[in-house]
Amino acid sequence: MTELELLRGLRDDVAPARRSALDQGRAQLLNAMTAPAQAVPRTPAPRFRLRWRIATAAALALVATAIAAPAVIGGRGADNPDITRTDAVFVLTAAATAADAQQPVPERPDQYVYVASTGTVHGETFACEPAARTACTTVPDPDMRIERQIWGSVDGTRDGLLRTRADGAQGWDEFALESPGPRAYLDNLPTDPQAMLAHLRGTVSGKDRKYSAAGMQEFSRARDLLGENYLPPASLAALYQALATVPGITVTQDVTDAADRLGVAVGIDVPTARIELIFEPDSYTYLGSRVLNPDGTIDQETAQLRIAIVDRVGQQP
Amino acid sequence: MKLLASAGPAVADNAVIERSHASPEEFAAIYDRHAEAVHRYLARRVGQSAADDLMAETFLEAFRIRARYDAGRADARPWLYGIATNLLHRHHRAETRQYRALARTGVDPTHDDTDTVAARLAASTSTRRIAAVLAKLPIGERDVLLLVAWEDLGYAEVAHALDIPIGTVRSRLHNARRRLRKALADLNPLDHSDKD
Repeated sequence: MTELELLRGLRDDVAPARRSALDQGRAQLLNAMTAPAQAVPRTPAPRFRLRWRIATAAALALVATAIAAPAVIGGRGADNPDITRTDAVFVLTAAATAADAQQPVPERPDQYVYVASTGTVHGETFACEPAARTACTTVPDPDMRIERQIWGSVDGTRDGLLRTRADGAQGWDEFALESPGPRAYLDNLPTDPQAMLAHLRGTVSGKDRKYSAAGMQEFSRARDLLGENYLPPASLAALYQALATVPGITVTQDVTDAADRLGVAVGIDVPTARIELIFEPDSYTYLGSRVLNPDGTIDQETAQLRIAIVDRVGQQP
Repeated sequence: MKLLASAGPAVADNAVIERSHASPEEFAAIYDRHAEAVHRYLARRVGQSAADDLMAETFLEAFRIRARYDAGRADARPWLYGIATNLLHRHHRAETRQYRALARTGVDPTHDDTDTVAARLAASTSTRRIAAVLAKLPIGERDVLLLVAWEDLGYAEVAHALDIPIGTVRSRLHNARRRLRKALADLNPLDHSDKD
């Protein structure tokens, strides 16, 4: 036996890391990720920023593309008479009013927020998984339509589930959403428009903000929040009111969302894209979102089909 | 997040870190892959509870400096061990004290109370002598020795982890092993062939 072998035996029986320690370390790391400006790890960022990475991969990839591309193509639609700021503020204000008129949906911590959606916005979900090594860096295929059903834990303490199905595929692909994860019932968001605006902006550090086009952060973040979470009426109203104050917002009439429903879109032009939120033209409820390329073609889109609070993972409302 | 159904080959660490520049959340995969191993290394050196904090700090630091990661390296472990080792140095005295206590008493202070009774039994003479050597080793030699012996890192990986020339790795390891052999010489039919 060599001295190294004897040394290998020393504390070889060390106890494995406790689950709680691993979970805590992971939560700290996720918090740091979502608050890059805060170097001090013990300052927790809001938990709701912690969308599962798979859900935001597409959105973040988009942001990265927008930042990396040197060309500035903004202002698309600026000479389009249908697109005016006044209209955009009107739509968002109407959406806020409509949201405020709703009663909050009650929840219990052991329940789940169920969201069904269809679209291409999360088309990279498959591509980013280990099965495909390089696909994550490719642009999502706009023709690849994907249905999603997600069960997110109300308070993030339970394992959730994400199901996706590519258009025409037989069965669902299932992804475990491990706890602890982000909350899906976002009753911890600001209810004041100013505070909400700060929240939407607060997730970009000063250094990054320099590269971030005006309004992009606010709209990207709003899109993430709206996508697969439940926002109580007060926060939802504050969100729309906050977006209404973003300079440069414009409206596009008569758009169709990813589920072919007619809507009115409010969006912001950033150098390499236009990000839009789509509302139902009469009730001003949120339908979905989309991202347009500079040439007006659709880069990604998603339509929210159903949102509900359910008791169990896998349960349809 | 993990696929329920098993997927194909995992994406290499460097590709994950590369992606994490644009999508910070991707970095969680680095944690999921290596947190337990890093924790084990830390716990072995300074005990469970110190390891909990140091492990979390290691990944926070790794995330913070991920832009400096050498994109040519597929395996992030040496880099993570390097960060962990640097952080360990703050606990240098405590670590040394614990080796010394183990050498003197035969009881390992890094064992938690919750551990088995067997774990608290007095250690063998060879273990106590090894602990005595570890207590006296210069910190740089201790780092090299334990990364090689406990974590199975190669010379080049240790050099990368500790940011020292590979020749320094060799000489530190050589010195440390010589001390160990000397301390154990009368106990065991040691294999005296020098493999480094």
